[in-house]
Amino acid sequence: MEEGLTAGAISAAFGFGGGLLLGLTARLASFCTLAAIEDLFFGHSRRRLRMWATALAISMACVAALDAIGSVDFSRSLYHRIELNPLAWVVGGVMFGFGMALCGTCAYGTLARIGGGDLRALFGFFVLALSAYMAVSGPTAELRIALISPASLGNSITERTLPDALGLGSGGSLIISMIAVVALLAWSFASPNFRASPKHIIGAVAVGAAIVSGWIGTGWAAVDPFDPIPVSSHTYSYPLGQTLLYLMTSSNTELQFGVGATAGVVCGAFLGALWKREFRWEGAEDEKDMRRHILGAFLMGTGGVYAGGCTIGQGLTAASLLMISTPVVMASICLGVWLGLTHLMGGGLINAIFQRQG
Amino acid sequence: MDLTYLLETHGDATVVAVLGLLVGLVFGVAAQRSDFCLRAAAIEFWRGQPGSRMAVWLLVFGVAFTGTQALFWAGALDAGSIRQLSTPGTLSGAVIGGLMFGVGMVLARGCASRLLVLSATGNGRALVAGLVLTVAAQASLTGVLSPLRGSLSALAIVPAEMRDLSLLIPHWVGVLAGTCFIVSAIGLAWRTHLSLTQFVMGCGVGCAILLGWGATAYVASQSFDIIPVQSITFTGPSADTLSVLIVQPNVTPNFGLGLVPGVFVGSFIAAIVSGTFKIQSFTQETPLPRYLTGAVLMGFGSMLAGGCAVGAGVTGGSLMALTAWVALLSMWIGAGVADTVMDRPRSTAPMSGIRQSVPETSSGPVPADGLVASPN
Repeated sequence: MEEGLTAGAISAAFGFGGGLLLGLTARLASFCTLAAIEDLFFGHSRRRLRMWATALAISMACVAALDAIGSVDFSRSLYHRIELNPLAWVVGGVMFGFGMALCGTCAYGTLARIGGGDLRALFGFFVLALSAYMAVSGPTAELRIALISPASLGNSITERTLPDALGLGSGGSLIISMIAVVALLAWSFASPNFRASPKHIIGAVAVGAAIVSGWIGTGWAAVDPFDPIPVSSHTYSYPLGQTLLYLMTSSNTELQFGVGATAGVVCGAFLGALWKREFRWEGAEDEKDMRRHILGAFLMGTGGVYAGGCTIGQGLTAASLLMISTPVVMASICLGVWLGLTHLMGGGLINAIFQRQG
Repeated sequence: MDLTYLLETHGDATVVAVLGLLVGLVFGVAAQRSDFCLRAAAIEFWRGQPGSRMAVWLLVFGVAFTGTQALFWAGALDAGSIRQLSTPGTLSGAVIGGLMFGVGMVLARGCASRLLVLSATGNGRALVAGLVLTVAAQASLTGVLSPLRGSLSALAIVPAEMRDLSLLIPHWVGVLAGTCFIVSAIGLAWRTHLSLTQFVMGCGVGCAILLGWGATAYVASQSFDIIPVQSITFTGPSADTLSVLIVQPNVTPNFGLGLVPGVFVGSFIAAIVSGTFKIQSFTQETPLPRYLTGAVLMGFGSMLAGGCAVGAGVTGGSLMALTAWVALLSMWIGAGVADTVMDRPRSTAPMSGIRQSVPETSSGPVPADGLVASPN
């Protein structure tokens, strides 16, 4: 170990770098996944959604290139190894989306808020981290195994990306990627509003670069046959739990990509907040505010693990691989957000449902 | 009820954990009903207004101290099996950690045990602070803060023989000293019209600590395994309980793992039965940054000092362990400093004879101390 950094440490360093970019973008270019989803529903301006689309396009293009060159073996990714369970995608996604609406931001956004001095978000982080860990190896994991795992398709299926599922070879996969990239970029840049905003374009490039750096870090730079680590990129559900655990047990645990990434987002957001002079210690306004945050954080932590990723994890990282889970998870998240916003604005979900039927 | 039978059927670890639960229940009920709080007692002391909270604390300490020393005197407890008396300790840790803990408990409005008891009565602030405290404690023990803790501890280590003050002061003197604490507690209680319920419950808290010693010592004597003889302390067990929730569902039960839930349930029941259960949360007057800072200071400080206000202060103090006494003193001082700097209301000058000093060059009249007295 004296001769060099461990695979875990190298991947954590890449995670930190990508996290810095993500944190800076959150504060300087206002990149926010909840805002993007709100754009979708109420959108007068779709700029944040276009940022997401551009970032995704860049990630997809780079992933396709890396795959073609062969530097990264994407078939070894985390997403190829976890359990395939459409019910989990839906349940997890809706929970995550609802939690996002309650908190006013997603898990990645919570980290960005900590960087800005928001202590509600710090507490939210604790609840998120604990819930995520519990959903993997605690009481909520038991719940998941009892109620949701029966719908599982197992993890022996290897054709998990869209091109693979359609039975296309590597050539077909490349073509599908190119079509997707072009479509996303065309849609994004069709808007003069977006084209005229260098801040948002640069932000999108930064986000794309972050995702790609994660793949490069875990899939190429930190590859060590004696110390294999999962090939993955940025996601903010389970890694928050890993970070909390690392804070508590660092003398006995290794650094991991997710730990570096989490730290990176907080630091990047901190730097961004300082730059814009927005840093400010903020506490809770009242008891209802705190309760909402705690419930929302719990739903996000648990739902994110159930679904196999958060808005960044599924919506950018897994999406860059063209995973079949992504459309299902993202649709469920959107549904969850809609339900959550309706609940918050309409004074209750029950009212909203009955009003519609009435 | 044959203990050997129980030990054989359920295993030593489970029996000890159940005992921890029972002791915790007693502590929870008694602490909630007596409003036992080191922070409140220290603040009363430093403001020169010893009152009911100080009476309760003196009572708890007196009962625990007298009883524990009596147990030693009677030969029921043996220093060799007790961690605080038989392993090397750290004086620098006791001082620095104690000071940090004292400051932290004023910032967070309660020590670790008080936060646990309060959170069971519906106090959301206490729950939040308690959670942060626990995470900080675990981080200090085995996480990112543990190197700092290690280096601070290493500054002044004391060997085991120096920690056991009973080698200097015989146990019967301890019993006598403890009795003095109890007598002064009774005197203060009388003067401040402490309610009988609070008085009895205060005794109950002290008894809970004695129960802890007694129960673990008895199991240790009946068991073939090495059972640590211990009593009530909160930061270590809270961190263990948190670990069980998230990391290792299959951890071996121990006294602390039963204690924390026991205290929570006991306090909850006492609050419901007495009608004092009330959901409280953060407001403008109780800022989150201050609580979180206090919680982190307590988490780190308690691990450095070898225990929290109850663990080091009362439980450790009742053993006549040097490091525990130093820690308690430091906590007391830390609390005083924090209270003076942060919360203390100022009084008008003439009563206390303090006047603002005037520079020699000024020719005007001596200005009155322009601060207004505010209600305590």
